[in-house]
Amino acid sequence: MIEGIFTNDNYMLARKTLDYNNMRHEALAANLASVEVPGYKRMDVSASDFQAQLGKALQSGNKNAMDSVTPQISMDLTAVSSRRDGNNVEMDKELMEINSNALEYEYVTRYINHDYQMIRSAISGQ
Amino acid sequence: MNLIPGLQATASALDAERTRMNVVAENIANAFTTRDANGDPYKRKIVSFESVLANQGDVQSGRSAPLYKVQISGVTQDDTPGKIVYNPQHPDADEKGMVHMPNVESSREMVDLIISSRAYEANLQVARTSRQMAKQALTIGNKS
Repeated sequence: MIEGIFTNDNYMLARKTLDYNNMRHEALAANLASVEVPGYKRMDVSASDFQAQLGKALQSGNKNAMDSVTPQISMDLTAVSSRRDGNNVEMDKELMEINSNALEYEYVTRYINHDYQMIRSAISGQ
Repeated sequence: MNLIPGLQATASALDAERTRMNVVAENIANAFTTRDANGDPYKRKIVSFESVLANQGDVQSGRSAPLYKVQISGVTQDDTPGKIVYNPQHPDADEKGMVHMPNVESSREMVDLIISSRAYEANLQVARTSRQMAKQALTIGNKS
């Protein structure tokens, strides 16, 4: 039963989502750090790409398939530059993304904690 | 992977912005310095930034693209000539009574200072968020 909890789909998805949020925070922090560097192009972790990978791993039904899912940092090709120095980072937008990403991270940590809490109460019976 | 995510880039940006604020402060402080160590009027200094590699692109860790941090690429001198004003009583006036003033415009320096301090604040906010995330990760498995 306990093994069933640690290999259950939701728990494994939550683990991978933490990785994704952590990596995305690194990318977004680097973007904001480079807001004044001429010609810098912003990096991001593609959510749709990551979700597609997760979906594929889930559908395969193979527990090990989930381990091979890795979020990838890549150059954001959709961002357009409105500045003359060619930098396409917008400070306010980046801050918004960082905050919502951190909130997502908090949500997932709480979810995992809640999972543990449930196992704990099953063990202690209270 | 670091305990606190994204700290390297944020720290480098804070450092770079602080250096820029120092240089702007130097410019403003010397807005009326008509004689420096070489006997010339003070020349305004400009800071320029560049990207340096913080993390190699590495497929193993899931990073397909490299991440960059910021560093100061150089502090250069602005050589545009400053104003020349008539002030024959000034000790640095030439034989016609004209004084060569520094090429510092305080309005422009103030704008630079504001941009710099806004960028500094934003990065500080990110550092706070990073710390919060690390703390959040440490609560996993705690009894609530």
